[in-house]
Amino acid sequence: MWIWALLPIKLGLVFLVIHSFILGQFEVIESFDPEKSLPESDLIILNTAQTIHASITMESIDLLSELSFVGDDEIQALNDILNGEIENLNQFPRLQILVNGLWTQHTLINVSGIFSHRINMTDDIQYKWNSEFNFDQYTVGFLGERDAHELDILDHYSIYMKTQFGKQFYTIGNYQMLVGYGLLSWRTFGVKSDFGTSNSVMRRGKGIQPFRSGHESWAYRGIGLESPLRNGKIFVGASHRLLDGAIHDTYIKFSGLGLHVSDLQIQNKNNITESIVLGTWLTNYNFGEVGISLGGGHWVDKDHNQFSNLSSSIFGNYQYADLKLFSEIAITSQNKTAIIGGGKIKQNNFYYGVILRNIAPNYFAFRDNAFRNWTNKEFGEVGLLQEMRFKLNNFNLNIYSDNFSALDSPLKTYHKRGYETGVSIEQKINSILWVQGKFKMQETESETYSYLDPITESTPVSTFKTTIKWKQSPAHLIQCQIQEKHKQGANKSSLGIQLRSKYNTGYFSMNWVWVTANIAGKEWLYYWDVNVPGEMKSKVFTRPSHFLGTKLSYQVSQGSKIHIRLSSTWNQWDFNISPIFRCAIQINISI
Amino acid sequence: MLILGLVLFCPKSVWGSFESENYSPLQNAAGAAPFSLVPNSLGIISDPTGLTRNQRLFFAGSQHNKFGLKSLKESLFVVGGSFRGFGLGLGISNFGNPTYQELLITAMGTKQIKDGLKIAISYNLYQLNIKNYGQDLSHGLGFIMRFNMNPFVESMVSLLNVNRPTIGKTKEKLPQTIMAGLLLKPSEKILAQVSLVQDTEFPVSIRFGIIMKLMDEFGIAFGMVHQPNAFTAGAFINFKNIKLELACLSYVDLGFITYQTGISFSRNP
Repeated sequence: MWIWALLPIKLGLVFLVIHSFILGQFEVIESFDPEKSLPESDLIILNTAQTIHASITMESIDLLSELSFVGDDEIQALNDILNGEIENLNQFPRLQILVNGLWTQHTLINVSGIFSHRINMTDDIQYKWNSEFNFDQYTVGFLGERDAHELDILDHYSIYMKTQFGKQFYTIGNYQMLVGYGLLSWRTFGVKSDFGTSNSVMRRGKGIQPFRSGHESWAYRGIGLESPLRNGKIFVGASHRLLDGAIHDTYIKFSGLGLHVSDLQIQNKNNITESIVLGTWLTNYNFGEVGISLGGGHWVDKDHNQFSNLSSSIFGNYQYADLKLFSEIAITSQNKTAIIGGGKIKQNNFYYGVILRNIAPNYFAFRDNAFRNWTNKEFGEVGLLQEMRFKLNNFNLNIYSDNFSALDSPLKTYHKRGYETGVSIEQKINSILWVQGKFKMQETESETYSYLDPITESTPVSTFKTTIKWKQSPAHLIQCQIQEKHKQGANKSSLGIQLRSKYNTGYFSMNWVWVTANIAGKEWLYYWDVNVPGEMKSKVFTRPSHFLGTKLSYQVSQGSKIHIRLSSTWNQWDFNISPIFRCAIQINISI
Repeated sequence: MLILGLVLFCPKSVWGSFESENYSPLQNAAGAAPFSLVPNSLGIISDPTGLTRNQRLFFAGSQHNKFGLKSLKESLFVVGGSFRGFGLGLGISNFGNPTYQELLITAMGTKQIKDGLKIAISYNLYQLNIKNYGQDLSHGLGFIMRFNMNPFVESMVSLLNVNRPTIGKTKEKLPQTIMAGLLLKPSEKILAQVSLVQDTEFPVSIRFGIIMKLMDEFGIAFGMVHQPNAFTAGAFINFKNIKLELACLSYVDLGFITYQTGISFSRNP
């Protein structure tokens, strides 16, 4: 209770001052919680959109609509801007920051492609190449990488081509299918509980998209077709590929690691042969959409273990005035069911969203990744998320609460439970000054296995952040962030301080970061690392540490830029240890 | 003696077949640069993006004894030119002695895609002959890209043997090498390179070097290589269409010195 008692006081200390005109795309991403992963494809899409496109166009909106965190209303706002139905994005501050950050710099016209080459040095070197080219009605992309210590020069590669013939869209190579609301097939990362989650969850999947992420076992490989019908449209994908993973009794576990260094990892590379056919039919009716998906998959590993699965789902949404409802229900041939649904009411000054989900233990479709809190699928999940937003003039209040429980447990004695709550206060003082306060509290029952009995632990953990951004001059930004993480009943809190500076002269920019963290127990602190474009790594502090990092960027010409990242970490409070040095160089080329 | 030296002193593991780098004397003198530093030269055998448009036929060759050992003789020869906007070349490399011999035949093509961007593909035919053991063939593919970032800076990236070739009954993996670098031209008379070369089975090799044109017809080059550690130096002389090159590589850990000489003839476009 003391946490709630202290909340008003701490909220008074928690504030964020943002000068909107100096923010860019990465500031938008940095506003996300560094403890939760972002799809790599989002970062690649932002990098590509910034390089290839120069403003809001049909093509750039189409690309931005593939971002995982953008809501339906935000995409609609971009279309409204394009059609002249609204004049600005003042009602969508996040979108405004994103668009301004993407296209305020000198952007080349007639750019048809982008190529980036990254060399990331740790104890060995990771190489990554990424490109996308547009010519005529074709979009062609390539991603290749060799992780540190891997023996194969192109251990992973991904190629795609998207084209249009008549009214049909074809995607050949690596692609992803975003079907319904994620119960059958979705992105590499599902949406997690956070501010704005209800809006993201209610976005219906766009169907077939090129696969831009570096995840080595998630893409479909084959051909995807999108075609209009007399009544609606259809998405069909056929995929056949090798991937890393393990076949279990009722599901396939995909390996997300992508490392092939040890003998076992090399031996298990491409150990599963997968064949999938998945189709979706979607149609509009007066108040919304309805769709049906049906697919089948077959998996065989090198030991001839086999697994087959048929999955189907029905989904739809309904909109009447300010009310929008959605739902998807899925069932698999293993007799596992999953349901997700909810709704939102949106008015000028008020927003309420609610999401319910009930996902059976060991539920598996093809690439299901619907909204859920626990990534472990073994125990299933039932939960209720609610989110409210109030707006009074320039004052915004955002509250969310997610209560969830496992449907099964390994000992069959109890079901794990958890909740997560967040409060955000936002005050837009004028067009360039913005004050925001955030508070989050999480509590999850977790099990630790002792010699005699498993111990169940459930203690609330609260996190407070204070961020101050000061724009010293048009080219120089200084930021200070203090973070405290406290476990209820503990004597000590984890405390971290980050100093950050950005200096930009147009052709040359320099960022530097200093972090000092004093960690108590297992209350680890997360901060965004220094990142070059296209990467968004967070840094976790598990023990008292100091971190110094810098990123230098130089625009060599209008069509090329070099980024260099250097960092050093001392994993001991008194510096009496050799620092761990990391660096990276990235070259971005516009063609 | 050589094998003993490599095992005991060389920081790399024992070299496998086709580990020897096919560089021109000028490339070796300027810190064993993996990219062609002068267009239409012997350097195209490792970096075909050195083939330019509108270049009439040229040919070049070099010869040296690796580590100064007579039993490790290496010869390089290339012929190239441009045809309908494509740069085309053919190179031959021969390394070894009558008992152990590596032969590499490289066919290469280059295309300028847009202003400043060149893409090249090389096809490598590897032949290994070991006396009393027989011979074997293998095929490798290379991709190379060079981009003029501005008049003073070029960036390059190259992937050798992306198709994972192997050779012999034991399926010995041929070297897969990633090369990346920047070529800097601060003035008309100075050329500098910094590069990374990584055979995926070995630690990365960091290299840098400088070429200084002291007179119109004469210049010097020097550089350093890390992994294996070596100092490099050399010179070149131009005489009309003929260029003579000389390089010296001093391997710090091995104590060996490699001297390399080369000659090239180029018809002006």
